[in-house]
Amino acid sequence: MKKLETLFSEGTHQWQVIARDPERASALIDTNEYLIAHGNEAMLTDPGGLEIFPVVFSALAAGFDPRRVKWIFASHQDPDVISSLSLWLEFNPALRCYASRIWGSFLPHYGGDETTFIGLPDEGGKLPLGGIELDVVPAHYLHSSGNFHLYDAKARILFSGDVGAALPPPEEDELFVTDFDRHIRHAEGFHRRFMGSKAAVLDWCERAAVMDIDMLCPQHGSIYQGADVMRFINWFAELEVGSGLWATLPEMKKAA
Amino acid sequence: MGHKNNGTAVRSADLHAIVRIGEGIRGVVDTAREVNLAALNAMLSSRRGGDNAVGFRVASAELRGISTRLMEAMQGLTLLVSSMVNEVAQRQRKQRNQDYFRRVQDSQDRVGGRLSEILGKQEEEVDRLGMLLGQSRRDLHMKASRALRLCDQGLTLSRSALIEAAYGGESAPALKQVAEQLAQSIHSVAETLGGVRAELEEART
Ligand SMILES: [Fe+2]
Ligand SMILES: [Fe+2]
Repeated sequence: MKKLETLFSEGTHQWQVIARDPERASALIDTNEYLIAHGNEAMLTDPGGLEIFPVVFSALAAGFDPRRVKWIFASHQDPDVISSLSLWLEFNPALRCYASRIWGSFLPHYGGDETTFIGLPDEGGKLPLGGIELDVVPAHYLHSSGNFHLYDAKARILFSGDVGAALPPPEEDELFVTDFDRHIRHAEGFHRRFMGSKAAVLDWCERAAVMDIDMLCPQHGSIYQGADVMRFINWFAELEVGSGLWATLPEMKKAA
Repeated sequence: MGHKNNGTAVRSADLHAIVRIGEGIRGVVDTAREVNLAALNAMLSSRRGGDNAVGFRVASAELRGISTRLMEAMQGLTLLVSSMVNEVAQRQRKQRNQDYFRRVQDSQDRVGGRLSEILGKQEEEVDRLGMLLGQSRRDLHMKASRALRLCDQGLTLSRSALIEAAYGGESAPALKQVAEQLAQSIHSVAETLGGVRAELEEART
């Protein structure tokens, strides 16, 4: 069963995570959903796939009034990110969904209509939430070609979508990274294969390095906090990515 | 989370039945086209039989008319079938959503009212689509029965063509062959339509 856990709390300003589910069907990749609340409003990041909707919704409703969720933030278009959309809309038809503008005619395949989606421009921007503003951080090609992260300067938390994602074995699956070197082994293959562009990696790393980040919160695997955040950024900047090409261009692997 | 959808087998059976019905209709169209051509050939061959074959010619011409009407009837059936596919797909989606909402455990009963409202609405929608589907099935059954009556007329005509062929003088053997082929084709149309109708009756129970 998934469970709602608090990451940050200051008055009505809150970050909570619907942490991973050890009992989930093994064919489904495990996901973290983050709930950001301020004042009377709340936003849910990457609410997940159809199949896990019942557990995500149940976990949310156990600790929070789901009617307060006004927005969904979809970092990108993947099924593990947003295929549950039609069910969230069935619960609250007034729900609006932020996502890259380039997915405007793709996302309605999951449900919703022209009033549901708010297309984000490539350069990102600011999203209002109950009196504060969240920063939409461009992270295109990491891995999706229309990809955004979400930064809360007040809480110093960066939601980083698939960046920082790890698939650790169940015995090492913990809410926070406790041993960076051990943890990052479970992130390496994923980042090499899913991230396609070194230029995109470096662009993101430069941007992230100057942000004040206490917690880096990926959609899969443990949360990085404190010094592990900069450790991750440095590790990522050094990583050779695009490993899918190594099958047909072995010389690229030698370069890596 | 090894949840099983109890209704899945039933629902996919719906779609499979519709697919089989659609195939049947296409089969009827193909055979009706054959009948149409064969009847045309029969009319042409009967010319060679001269005045003796006039009865045969009339029967063949009427058979052509019937095969044309059969093809037209199949167009209506095809439209119905595609709207049924749509109804079944919509109902399946609704039922699937309903399953997801049934699996929500609202431990705090915080949104219990809203959830039962959603389940109630989904139930209504599933019922409404079920009724639409039933209506389409009845329409299809009626149209298939009408087409079967056309086939009966066709069979009668092909029998009289067979009798008339005997008066075809020199062309009699050729006319007989054409008449037999016509009878066989119409028979196969009737069989397929009978199958479609049986499928519909079974789906109804
Ligand atoms: Fe992804
Ligand atoms: Fe993902």
